[in-house]
Amino acid sequence: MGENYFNGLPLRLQLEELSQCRFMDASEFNGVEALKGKKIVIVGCGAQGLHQGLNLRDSGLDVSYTLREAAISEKRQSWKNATENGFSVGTYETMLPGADLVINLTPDKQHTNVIEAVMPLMKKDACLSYSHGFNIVEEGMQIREDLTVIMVAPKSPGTEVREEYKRGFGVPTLIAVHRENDPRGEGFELAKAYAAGTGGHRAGVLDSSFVAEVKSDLMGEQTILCGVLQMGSILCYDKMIEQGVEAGYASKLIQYGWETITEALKHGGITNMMDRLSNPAKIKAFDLSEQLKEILAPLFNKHMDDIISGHFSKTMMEDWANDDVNLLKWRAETAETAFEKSTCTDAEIPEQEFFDKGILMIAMVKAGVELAYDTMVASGIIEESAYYESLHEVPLIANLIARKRLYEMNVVISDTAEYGCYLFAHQAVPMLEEFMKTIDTEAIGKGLETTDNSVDNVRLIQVNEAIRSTSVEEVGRILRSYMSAMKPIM
Amino acid sequence: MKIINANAHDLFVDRFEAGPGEAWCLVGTNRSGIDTFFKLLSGELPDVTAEYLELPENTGVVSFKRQQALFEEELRKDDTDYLDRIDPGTRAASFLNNPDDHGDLIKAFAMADSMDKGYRQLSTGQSRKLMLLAQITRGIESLVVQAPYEGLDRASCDELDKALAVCHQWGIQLFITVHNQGDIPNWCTHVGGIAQGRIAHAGPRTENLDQIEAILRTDAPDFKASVKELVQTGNPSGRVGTSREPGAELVRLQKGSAGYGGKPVFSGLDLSIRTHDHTLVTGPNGCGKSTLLQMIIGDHPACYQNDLRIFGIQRGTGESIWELKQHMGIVSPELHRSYHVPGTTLHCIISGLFDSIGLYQPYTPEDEKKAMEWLERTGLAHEAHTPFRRLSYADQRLVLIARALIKIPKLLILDEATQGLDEPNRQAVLDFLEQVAGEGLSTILYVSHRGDEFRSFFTSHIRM
Ligand SMILES: NC(=O)c1ccc[n+]([C@@H]2O[C@H](COP(=O)([O-])OP(=O)(O)OC[C@H]3O[C@@H](n4cnc5c(N)ncnc54)[C@H](OP(=O)(O)O)[C@@H]3O)[C@@H](O)[C@H]2O)c1
Repeated sequence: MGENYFNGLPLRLQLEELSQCRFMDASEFNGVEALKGKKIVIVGCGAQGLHQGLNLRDSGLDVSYTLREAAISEKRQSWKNATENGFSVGTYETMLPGADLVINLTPDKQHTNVIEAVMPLMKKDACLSYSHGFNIVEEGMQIREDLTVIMVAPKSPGTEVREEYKRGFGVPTLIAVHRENDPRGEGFELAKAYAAGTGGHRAGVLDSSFVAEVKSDLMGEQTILCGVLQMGSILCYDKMIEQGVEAGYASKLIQYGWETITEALKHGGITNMMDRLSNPAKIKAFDLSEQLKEILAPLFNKHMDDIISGHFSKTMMEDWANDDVNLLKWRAETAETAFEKSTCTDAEIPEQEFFDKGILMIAMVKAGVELAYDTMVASGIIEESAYYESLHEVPLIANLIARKRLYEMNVVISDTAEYGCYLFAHQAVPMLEEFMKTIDTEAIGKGLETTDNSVDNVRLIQVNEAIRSTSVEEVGRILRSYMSAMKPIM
Repeated sequence: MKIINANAHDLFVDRFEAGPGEAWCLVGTNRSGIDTFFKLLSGELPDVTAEYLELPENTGVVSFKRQQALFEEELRKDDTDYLDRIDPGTRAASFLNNPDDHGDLIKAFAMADSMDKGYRQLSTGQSRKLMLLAQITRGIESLVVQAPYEGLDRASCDELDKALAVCHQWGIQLFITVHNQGDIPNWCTHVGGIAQGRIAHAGPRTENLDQIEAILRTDAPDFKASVKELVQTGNPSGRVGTSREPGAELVRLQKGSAGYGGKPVFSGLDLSIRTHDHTLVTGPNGCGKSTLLQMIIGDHPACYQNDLRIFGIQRGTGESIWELKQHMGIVSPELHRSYHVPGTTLHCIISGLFDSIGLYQPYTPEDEKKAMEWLERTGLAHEAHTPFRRLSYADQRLVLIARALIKIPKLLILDEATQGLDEPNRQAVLDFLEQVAGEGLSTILYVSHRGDEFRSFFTSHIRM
């Protein structure tokens, strides 16, 4: 394993890399021209590999796959995915030497392995691509000098990458060129063509860097995406039980609540999510989220600092090398939480009720999104990047919890996300102990008792103003307008 | 059950009565109020006022809306991103209540072999039967089914008919709605006609059948388009100006084959379509008609594994699917199911100019004008700003047909395009296509199960 790449950079370049992020204009793309007639070989045919490959082929590019020997001889699912879709598949030895662009879409944890096997077989002056930069940035993988190294990272799961393409659209995508590996200066053109081949250019592309992608991705996934929802599920459930809310109801309110409230977030940001509450409830959620932000800010800072310094990835990789002892222990503990073991009631909970009775959950989402976003921005990450890695992805994890609860959610997300999620939740739960003592069923489980909807006008105006005028809301409004099905055509 | 003087939306029911064990076939055109009556029987109409209202009890409901909702729910649960394999959807058997106790019923439905399949692996007919089984195994006393025969070939209709006849024999009270004469089943004991928002005739089958069939013959279609008017309102072609020189090759497939998961659905198929070769494709469900069309459209991976040329371009030689799709206008059950994105009816029609599902590009005032004209032709101008998804199934269909026609494409690919439409509308759409063919505006590739759609303008007929 190499040295952490980021830590080896001089401060000047660290800052430059971290802050590299520019929302590209549609006119900068010239279709797939730069990849026309080139031979593209994808390593791995899982969720990203298969669906990116289908898109690239439909865009007129020459795509085939290479898999490790065992996957081919045992006709594993990855082999079936590729062959049933009419792609040719071969071993590294047969496929790689002819490839102009090799796209590595294997699990991040395997990258060092995979690249060590793949690189010697790649032809001179070819290009190597990633969809996540962990291997380059955190593991410091050294790539042969003649090779161009790029990244094209769709900010959505594989099936969505495909579905949006079929609709004639795409998903927001981040592209980058590794500054150490761009010997002919062609990396950017190749990355743009690849992004266009997946349809990403229609939904918004960020011209960013490996470093910015990795640091922001890690920060988002371990704090607001997985960490906050894990922490919130455990705390809110235990609180309701303590207060005598019926267990089946509490279970359902949590399991499906995140999904319902973040659906509102997805369409209209924090403002819209808060607007779903009555005025008194909105003010309550606002106040709670202010308290949460004050208590949790140091923890968000610590995660950001550990990610930037490499401490996080170093300790996590030590656990990888130690047969995942910590990860598996923490995973087992998740299975034992009261929420995980609870069963949902069969009774319907109407959509609006998830908001009315989940004020604390809304406050947690608001606080988590704002803290994650602000902490990233304060560390030099550009706003657009911070948005995609925080607010944009929350509904995805919320949907996973609705379908799978915490244990399974953790199993299916990446190992880096899972490891970081536990680190965060383990710290956050005790930090909120005092705060939780002040909470009763008005905030979670039953909603506000008062039927009186009156509020002080001046206070309401202040709160509305504070909700709306944050940076994440301003950036979000613009980025969402590029992403929604009803793009700014009016 | 019994209804006296009930009022809701576009429907007034003065009197309607049905006894236990009766099997009713309700007949009407798409906008006759029959959908409202269906909702009323299903217990899904909250705002009905009535002098007397006793609805069927312990009811099972199968409707387009529920089928679409199930399809979307299954998509939401798709675990492909997290499983190490493609997720085929929920196992069929798990939709049923105690499937082990219902072996005979499942057999009577000819579904025993499908119980272990995933939802997405079922054919249209199979998934419809599964929905019926899901209801019946709950131990219902009455069953309300919307347009059960749509999209099914003769054999599947017969199978479904048998299944419904079984339900009738078991004493389940049945109500189905149909929009076409040929769909009125033999097993029904009673028929009811709905016209202009009223129950026109209702009672025992033998006494009422003739009047009820007349409704379908005499009601006017909502779809009103003529090529003459199209030419008068300006350039009939859409965005892409394309030459339509006769004899130019549009599709050429040699020794074509395709399948799923290693199982072939057809092989050794030769096909050549040149400009003005209007081609009808027929064959039973599962014979590969839709697969063939999807291959031509570029939505099935077999397009890259065959000797296939589209518009003279060999597939898999650097062309993008969007280059090809810009010359195609498409209506298919897959398209309809996939059109579950937000957007208005007007936007849906405009999206046909860009071949997208949803609208992602700026459009011009001329585009909007053209789309409004098409809305007029489908009788839906007043719904321009209604979300597409809120229209009835049949109206959605008409809009999708207009979406395919708006650019008057080189190649019109219509896979069971009239599914869900009533008799007058089906005939009106076909009349229009006949004119399109007559004027040589587009070349038509058409799949249908309905014999009365096999018009004489088709110059070739592929039986699969
Ligand atoms: N999931 C997302 O939402 C998402 C989004 C953006 C970017 N990404 C990035 O995309 C990349 C791929 O992620 P994914 O979720 O698509 O992974 P995945 O579904 O787990 O697929 C991994 C593929 O790699 C193969 N593979 C596993 N271990 C291997 C090894 N040691 N050597 C060679 N091949 C191996 C697997 O096939 P066999 O086991 O059969 O060999 C499988 O085809 C990652 O870098 C990830 O960070 C993911």
